[in-house]
Amino acid sequence: METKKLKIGLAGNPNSGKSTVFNHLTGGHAHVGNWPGVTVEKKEGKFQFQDYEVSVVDLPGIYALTAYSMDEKIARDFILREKPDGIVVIIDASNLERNLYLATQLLELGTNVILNLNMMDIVRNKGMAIDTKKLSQIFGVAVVETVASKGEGIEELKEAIVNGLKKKRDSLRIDYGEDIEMEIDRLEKRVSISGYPSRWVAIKLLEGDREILEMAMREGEAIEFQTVDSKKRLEEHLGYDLETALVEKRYAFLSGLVKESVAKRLDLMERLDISDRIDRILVNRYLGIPIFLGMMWLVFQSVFTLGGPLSDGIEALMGWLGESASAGIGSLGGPKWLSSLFSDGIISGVGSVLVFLPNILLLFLAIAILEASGYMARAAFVMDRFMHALGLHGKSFIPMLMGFGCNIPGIMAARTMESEKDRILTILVNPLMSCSARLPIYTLFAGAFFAENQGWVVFSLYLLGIILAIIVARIFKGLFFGAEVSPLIMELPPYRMPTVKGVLIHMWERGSLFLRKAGTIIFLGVILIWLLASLPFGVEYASKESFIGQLGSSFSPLFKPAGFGFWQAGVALLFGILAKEVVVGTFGTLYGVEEAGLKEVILTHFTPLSAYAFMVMSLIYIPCIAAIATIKRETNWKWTFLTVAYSLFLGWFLAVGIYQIGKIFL
Amino acid sequence: MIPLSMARQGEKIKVLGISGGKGLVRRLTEMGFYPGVEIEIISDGHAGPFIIGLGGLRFGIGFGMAKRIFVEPLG
Repeated sequence: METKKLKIGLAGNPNSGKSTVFNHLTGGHAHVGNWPGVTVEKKEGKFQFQDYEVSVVDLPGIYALTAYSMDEKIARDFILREKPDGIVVIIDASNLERNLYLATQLLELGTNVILNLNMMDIVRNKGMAIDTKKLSQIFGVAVVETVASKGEGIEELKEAIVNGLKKKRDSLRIDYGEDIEMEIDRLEKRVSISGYPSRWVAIKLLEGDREILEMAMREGEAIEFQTVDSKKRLEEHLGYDLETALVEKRYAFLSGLVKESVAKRLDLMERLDISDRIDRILVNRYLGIPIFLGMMWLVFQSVFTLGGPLSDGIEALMGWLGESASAGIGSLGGPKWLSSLFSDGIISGVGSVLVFLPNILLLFLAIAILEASGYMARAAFVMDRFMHALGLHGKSFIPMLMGFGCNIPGIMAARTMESEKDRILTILVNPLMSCSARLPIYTLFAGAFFAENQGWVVFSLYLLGIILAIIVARIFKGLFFGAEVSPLIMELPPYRMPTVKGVLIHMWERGSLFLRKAGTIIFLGVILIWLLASLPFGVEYASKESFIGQLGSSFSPLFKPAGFGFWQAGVALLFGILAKEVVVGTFGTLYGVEEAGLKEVILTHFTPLSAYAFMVMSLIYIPCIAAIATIKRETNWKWTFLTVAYSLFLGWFLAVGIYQIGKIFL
Repeated sequence: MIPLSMARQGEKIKVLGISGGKGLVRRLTEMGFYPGVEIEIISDGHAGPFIIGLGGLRFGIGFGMAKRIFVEPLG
């Protein structure tokens, strides 16, 4: 028997349980990518049912199908351009009226739809009944009840997808009232866009949809004038905005429909009561911020305290592998460059990728739990006012905080932000958060030169990073994104107990994305640096004669005004791009001393002032390869280059400034 | 008429209007905020988040946003 193919999309409001339905349908095997041209996650999966292979695309959570928000535009483009065989609309049945709004939009468009009433357990617990037959009759589509959190009704949903989508049906007609209907009629007769129902086009034109207007104009006729004319006439008649009027009419239609099909009007008070009571404690005016900070402390601790030993383990394992490989190659009589390629190049390259994995997985585990429980949505609001004052978004607090541990998870955590502008801005300044890999540099230099005030010196560097992040964010915002702060309004889901399966799937999806995408760039970067340090043939690895040594020596005079214009510093900074903590080890290699003797050597080359300038440089200049790769993965080359360029310039400028001004006073 | 940001916890209010671009007004309307709708203040955002109840739903509103929604307290 030949398999037949179907392609469907899952649409639904945020918090309708869409991801859970998706996971159950596809068994959790999803291909995660991005929608073309944007960094909104696109998840695709497959399932087999009877003799069908059905591919499922998870659309972003949306409220309607306008062209205003990026998520809505993505969903709309998918439906209109990719022409799937059907759309399953996931509906939180305990909020029927509001959730059906999206369904009516799809039905007006004439899309082949299946309604999935999800969260039926909540409905039943309240002793409520929804007349699904009636709903099915009114809309002319299949209606399936599910409790996705428990996997109930998923087989029925699959069956409906395979069998229910075959029937063709007419577009839904909502009665917009005499006046509006008259104008819809007039417009309908004059416009046509092939492939779109003309009534829908007319309604969209009245709503002032730019995209549809442009499409209609391409098909000829002075439709813009027509539309403006119709709108003006209607708005004069109605006395207010036509767009609002259309939305209100749809809600009125739904309100009637819900009255007819729901046995007893749904009483949500109990569930809300519990949720509101939790809210009064968790986001309370006195406890809100302390509780939030406590939660963040927990997340931070679990990510870095638990992840630290795991990362160390991976590092030790990789170190051992590298040594065994080079010893093995040596004993077999292999050339020195080959054993170096394996230990310093390939194995250390794989290691640089894997070493971040425990932190990343733990971070996403923590975020997944916070998101699934409903707290994450609230956390953004707890910090909103404070972050606002800094010119950042409430939600950028978590990425910034994570950055103190490691910038990679920090940059990745920015995924939780809806607004593209705020997300990019948060990513751009994240490397200024002094990550834990920079601490060994501070410890070495501050310990050698400022033993008395070591704590204060290190603290001043962290503070400097934060202040710079705020200033840079302000400047970039003005330069690239306009001064306006994107308004923050978001639906808050009621508090729920996260499910183990859902949380783990989420963690793995994002974690594996890091492995696949950023991993490749990090690996290639490490190999490139290895090449530069080993060539030309026959030189000592990472010596002054190697390409990287020559490179370091050639630009080290640039750092003369900052007080550390000798070639070892240049090479150490170059290697620091590999990973910041490597700076310390490189000094050891270059001066030919163990880490214990390093302090003595440093004392002879640096002055307290040039040591401080060097620490400032280490804090700010070029993020490490892994961070660069992650920025590229999360944005594009343009923003990546900008980050590298601004950080290098800013670092140099401040190091020189501190040294020169300091010299006057000291 | 007062901005939403001035409303107090537990108060019931009615939306009168929204000041902002067309896209924003439209988006809020789709979410269910339009003139005439009644809202309850769950948490009033003083040193905490602004949470409002709209029927069976809960929304968080940023402080900047709350200043742009104009409301009228009900009794």
